[in-house]
Amino acid sequence: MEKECNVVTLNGVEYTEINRLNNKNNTYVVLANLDDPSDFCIKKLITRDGLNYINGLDSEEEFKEILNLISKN
Amino acid sequence: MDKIINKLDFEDEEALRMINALSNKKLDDKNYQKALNESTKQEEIKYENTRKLNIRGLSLAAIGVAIIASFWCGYIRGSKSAEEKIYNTSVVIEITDETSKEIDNKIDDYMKKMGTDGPRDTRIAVKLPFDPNNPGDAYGEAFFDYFPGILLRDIIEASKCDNPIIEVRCALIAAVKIINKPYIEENFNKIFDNLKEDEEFRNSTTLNNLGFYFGDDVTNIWQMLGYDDMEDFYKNARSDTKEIMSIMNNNYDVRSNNGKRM
Repeated sequence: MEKECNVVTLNGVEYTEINRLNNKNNTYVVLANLDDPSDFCIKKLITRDGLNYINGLDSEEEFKEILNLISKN
Repeated sequence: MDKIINKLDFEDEEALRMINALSNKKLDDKNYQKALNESTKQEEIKYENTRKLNIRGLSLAAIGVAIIASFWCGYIRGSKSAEEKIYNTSVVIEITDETSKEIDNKIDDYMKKMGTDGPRDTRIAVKLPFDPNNPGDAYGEAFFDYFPGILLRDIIEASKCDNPIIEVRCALIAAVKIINKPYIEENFNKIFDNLKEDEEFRNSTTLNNLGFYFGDDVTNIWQMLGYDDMEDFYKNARSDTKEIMSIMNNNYDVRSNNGKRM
């Protein structure tokens, strides 16, 4: 079975959204290279004027916090 | 992690190969740094493209990322066992008696809550079969149908618990056991219709994280949960839930066993 997924190209590699998490009033998307899931990153989802954008996290602390959520979820 | 681990059989060679490959990558500081750098890169990018992808591939990737995140959290906490896991070669999921019992108990608790243990105001009771000689009376065993609105409420309540991934699954497994078989499909599909029509639900990240999927190609609740049909759910959901719980409890081990399940 197939599913419509959000994808984004970063540094020439296609990353797919595999998880979406809420934390402290922010929404985070977990993006993975499906060919190699060890290659993944976390981005913050921003909605402005009805359009979605992703941007980087503010700090390593924030990154660790979301990693922790992923491992618990 | 379970967004996506709706149905992942760890005896499956493909799953083991993927996990082995991840373990073999030696998820060290270099990989962590790469993920951190990419994650904290300050560059706003339009997020608008979509593509149809195989759910199983997504499941495998999600569990891979969850395992890596778990390893790294172990690193962050200075856990020696996490470090040891990284440098071995394959993953063995161990469902302990404790985990197995915990899930069985949760399902039993939901069954009781749903009506096998005393009356519940909004439950609909149906007695079958009807005695043709005494219309209006029922004889034989009393069957209880289950009002889909209540199950819907149980799903919502379960999704708000500390561990929604497990709670919702246990609620649904209990519901499948408690609803009379001829009514299961009907009840679950009513719930599916309700969830599908509810925009707030459809866009809920909680449900999204639970692996609920509302795509146009999904026509019933079983597919929404990642199963082929009711029988598939009935057959696999309990053991899948135990495996997910085992992974969440870190009851998995990484060993040099060539991918064979212990």
